Amino acid sequence: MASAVGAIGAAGAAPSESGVWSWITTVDHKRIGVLYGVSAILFFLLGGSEAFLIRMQLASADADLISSGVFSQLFTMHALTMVFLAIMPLGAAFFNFLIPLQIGARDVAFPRLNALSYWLFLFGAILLNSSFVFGGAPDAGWFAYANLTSTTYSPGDSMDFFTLGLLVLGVSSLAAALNFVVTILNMRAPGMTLMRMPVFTWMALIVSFLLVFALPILTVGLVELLLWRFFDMPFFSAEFGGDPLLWQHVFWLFGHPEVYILILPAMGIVSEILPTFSKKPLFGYTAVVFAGVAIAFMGFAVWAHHMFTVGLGPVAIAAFSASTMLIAVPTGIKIFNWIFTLWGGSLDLRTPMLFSLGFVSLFIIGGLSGVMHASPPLDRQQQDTYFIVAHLHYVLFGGSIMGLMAGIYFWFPKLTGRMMGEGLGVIHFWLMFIGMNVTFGPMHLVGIMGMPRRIYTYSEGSGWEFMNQLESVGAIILAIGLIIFAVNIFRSLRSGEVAGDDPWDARTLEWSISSPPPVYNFDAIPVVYSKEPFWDQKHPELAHDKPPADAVAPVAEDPASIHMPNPSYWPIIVAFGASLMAGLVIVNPYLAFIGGAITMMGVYGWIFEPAGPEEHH
Amino acid sequence: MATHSTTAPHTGPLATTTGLDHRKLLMWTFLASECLFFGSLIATFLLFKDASVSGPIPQEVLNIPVTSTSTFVLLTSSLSMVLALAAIQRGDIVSGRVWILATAVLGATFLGFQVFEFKEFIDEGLKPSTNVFGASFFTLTGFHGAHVAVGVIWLMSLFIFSFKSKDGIPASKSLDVELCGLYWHFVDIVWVVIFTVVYLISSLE
Amino acid sequence: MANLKNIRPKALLGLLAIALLPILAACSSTDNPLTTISPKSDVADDIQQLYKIIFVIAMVVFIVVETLLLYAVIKFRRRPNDGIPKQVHGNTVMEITWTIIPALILVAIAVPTWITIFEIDDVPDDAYMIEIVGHQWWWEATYPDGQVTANEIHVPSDRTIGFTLDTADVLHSFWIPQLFGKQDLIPGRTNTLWFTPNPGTEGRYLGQCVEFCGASHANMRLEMIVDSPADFAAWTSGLESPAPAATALAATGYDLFASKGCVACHTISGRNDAIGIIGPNLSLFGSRLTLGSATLDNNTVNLTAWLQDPEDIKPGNIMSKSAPIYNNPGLAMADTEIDALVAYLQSLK
Repeated sequence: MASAVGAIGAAGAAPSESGVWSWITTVDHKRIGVLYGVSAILFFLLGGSEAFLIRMQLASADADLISSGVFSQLFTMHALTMVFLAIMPLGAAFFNFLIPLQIGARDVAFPRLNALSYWLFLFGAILLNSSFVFGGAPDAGWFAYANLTSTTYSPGDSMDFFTLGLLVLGVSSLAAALNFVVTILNMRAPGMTLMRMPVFTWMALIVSFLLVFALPILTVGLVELLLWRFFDMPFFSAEFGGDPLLWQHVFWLFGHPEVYILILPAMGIVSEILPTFSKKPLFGYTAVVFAGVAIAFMGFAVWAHHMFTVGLGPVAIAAFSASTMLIAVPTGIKIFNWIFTLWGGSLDLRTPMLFSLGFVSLFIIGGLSGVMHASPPLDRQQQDTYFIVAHLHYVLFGGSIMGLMAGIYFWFPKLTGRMMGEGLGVIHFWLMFIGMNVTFGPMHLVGIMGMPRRIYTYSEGSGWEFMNQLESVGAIILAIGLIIFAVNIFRSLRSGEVAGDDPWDARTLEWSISSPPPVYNFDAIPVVYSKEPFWDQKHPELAHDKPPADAVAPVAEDPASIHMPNPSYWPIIVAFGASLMAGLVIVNPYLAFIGGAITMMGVYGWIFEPAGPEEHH
Repeated sequence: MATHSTTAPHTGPLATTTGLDHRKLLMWTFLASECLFFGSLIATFLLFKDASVSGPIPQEVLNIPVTSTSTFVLLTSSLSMVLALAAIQRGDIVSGRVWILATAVLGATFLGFQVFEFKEFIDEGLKPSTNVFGASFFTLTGFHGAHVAVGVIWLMSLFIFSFKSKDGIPASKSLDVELCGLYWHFVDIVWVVIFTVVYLISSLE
Repeated sequence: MANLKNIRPKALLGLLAIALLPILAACSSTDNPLTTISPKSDVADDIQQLYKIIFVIAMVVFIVVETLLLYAVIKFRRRPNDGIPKQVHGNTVMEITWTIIPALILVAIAVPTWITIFEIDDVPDDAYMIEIVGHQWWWEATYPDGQVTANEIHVPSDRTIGFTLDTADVLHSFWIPQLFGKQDLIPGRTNTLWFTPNPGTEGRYLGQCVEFCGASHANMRLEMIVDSPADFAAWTSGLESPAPAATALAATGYDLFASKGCVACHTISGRNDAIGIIGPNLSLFGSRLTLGSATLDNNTVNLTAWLQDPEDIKPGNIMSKSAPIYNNPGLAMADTEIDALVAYLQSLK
């Protein structure tokens, strides 16, 4: 990835700002976006490798490739890696890079806090994965149901890596979410009312609020898990009056909003790409935005659908089943609006568009299977089977990953100034699309045939052999697709066609500036009169909302006079201190004070560092 | 991470879109998040307060007179916080310093009460690991205490650094104090809820 | 376009046929012992009825929406001299339509769902109640008259069967898909479950733990054997009085079962020395069809392999972790001793 970093660094920043130190101290939202993106893709490959091993073990009955203990670590870490270290930070990468560009701002509200979020993410991810080296990774499943996570049934440190790793990652996400909320609410260009914001920025705002409200709930659960394991505080011990179900409630109160945290960024991306490649505005902008808001709200009222079989009683189950089904309404609204965005358009089927269409078609499948197990009696036959595994991969792989891939192909030229190869892109798309369906499609069937999830082996005569073999072939196709993707990225960085400012004839503000954008993004802060300011500027005769006759074009400032925040090494020091503190807790809680001291020092250093020009006024 | 005073990058002559300072909006959003944090802890407490299979139970250990006193101390500190901000906004250097220090001292006094209370409980046989009441009680009040402690450190930092210049904290920087105040009042309000739910209601039953 | 329109329906039909084949295969319970769509009880039938309704609705929605999408992509794909299309921003009537129609479809799913929830909820009063306790990684069943068995649970075919579900350690989930949907076993609470076998469904039904419960979660299976009333009566009375060891080898095994410490964890009815409750109850073990929580056929080869190295068959199990014979080299069993134990266990009929 060194060349990736180098190429972008060379293109995107002032000459004095290159080299490793400039990346460590950067507070530029575009560079932090790149750091997030590169890290997330590397973790995506790691999580993918874990999945690949799982598929190889399950390719045949009674296989002996991987022991049950390692298998448990693999499926646990696969999920944790994909959720927390790949999809969420990939979303964060897009948020970082795009939000200021889309709202006409020069950076985020708190650039150093932004850097802190990234470094906490990286160190938290390293902490979580270091468990592989220090005695074994977490192996109780990613939702880590108590009381399997107790010191009795999970002796050793693996669950402590889970708890502390997720706590660090949670602080990282919370800091990022707070930053984005303030940035989006407070830094929009003049004239950009909330209902003129690009849909991607809208989804980013919704996701940020979801994080603000969902993460503290997870934090409380993790703290209780930690106290239970370290100090025998009996939160989840039934024999002392504790309740293992408390963990499930808390985890899913966070966990279900988390699902929307994972999917809404992709929905936002697709809502930008479909209009661009159809040469039409998004159909039903208001409906799409409010559907997103509705999904987020309802997301907090459905958590117990993960718990239909724990014995909540028929009334509670019926209520949660109703609220869950209700979410299908706003989801359906989005899908129909996307389809009618295409309707009557002039569809240019290039790679970003292909991935977006792939997203829509696969997300429909994931949505429909979701409605099936929203029905509790059906869920009794489907929960914890591969039917659920199929469902969640259609949503998270067919949905989130396809959407994020679309975004990578779409904004790569803006980020680097070069196009991604279209030929390889199309091959990559078809390998992913076919591979994804061959891998996860048959899982519906083995699920209906009763194959439980999280089993490391199954017997001959179960009737699952052929489907599992097929799924493993699908995994190989996916792996080849990802290799093509990697080749495409490297080739495009080195010798991709030069993109120009607006290669797709796009519609929002980020395409009105150069590719890659200058450090300060906009020399003149744009004034916004409509939902698609750049498109309307290019086609004033078609514009729906026209600028007033006396509108004055904003005056460009002299780049030399634009002050950007100074680089800072305090974020990485604070992040290091906090992560060290978390890691040392596992060794000895008292040693953690070392990390705490470093953090405090970092915080004071941070406060008294002159951050930007305002200090000089 | 309640202690950053990051400044925003320069965005030309523009005011913020909402008219609120970035840092104030950040603090409000952060406190919204904190509501869910304490909400979850309080929910855990309510689930567990009467679920212990062995004592001590709440009615046996809670000492309402003592905690009422500490509650009064903490509420008073909210008043002094208001006075501190008002003093700084009108440029009264000495009063500003005095009231900030008073707020910190009252906060520290509250923490002293809490340490005393914890020690009493442990002496009476209620440790965090004794039963689920103990576990959820110490976790909830402990995290609240930690928030008060962060507030005290913040206030003391403001106090000490007000001596860096002879002007103290100028009115133009009153936002630094206002943010601390927002946090401080929030922590106080949380305590009012905790006092009601944990102490008053639990001891009545 | 004309070509596409001609070919597509046939291709779709072909694809559908290919997709349906495995579904049809999944209906056959002999090839797929854990299939969820071959119901053999009233409760499973109720779920199946609901499944059919929801499946058909979901398939129709799937076909309509995906066809619409595919049609739009083909119909409106860019052609060489396309201009800028009409800039349509939305349509309120359409928004209302695709809010209301899905809502109505969901009502059509929700109403039968709610009816089924309540139908299958309460255990009928006249149910024959069996207590189930989940262990890492096996199942214990206690009958109303006090008989205890493990992993192979016989039930009579002429009665409604009810279960109380508890766990000795971590979460498990009790599931025999052809007979009933799953219910979790959770420390500190007792869940219930019930079903009535359909007439003429005597036979063996495979089940499996479906809540991840540790290293051998995959190996925590069970069998439910629906017996005719006469067979069931014979089986329960047999549980109370197992036959004495028949051969000399089995008699050696009888002694080894005590001297090797097996009695510390296992109960065998009729033996006063074997009353351990940590491991599965082995009464009538010789008449069981499977061993190792229904993961292997109960035959001499498999039983010998199990006694030689249980860890290999069921990783993490307590016997291989704690039993002296597997942890103290001085007490390790010779092959001849294993043969004797096998003979003894097989004689428990």
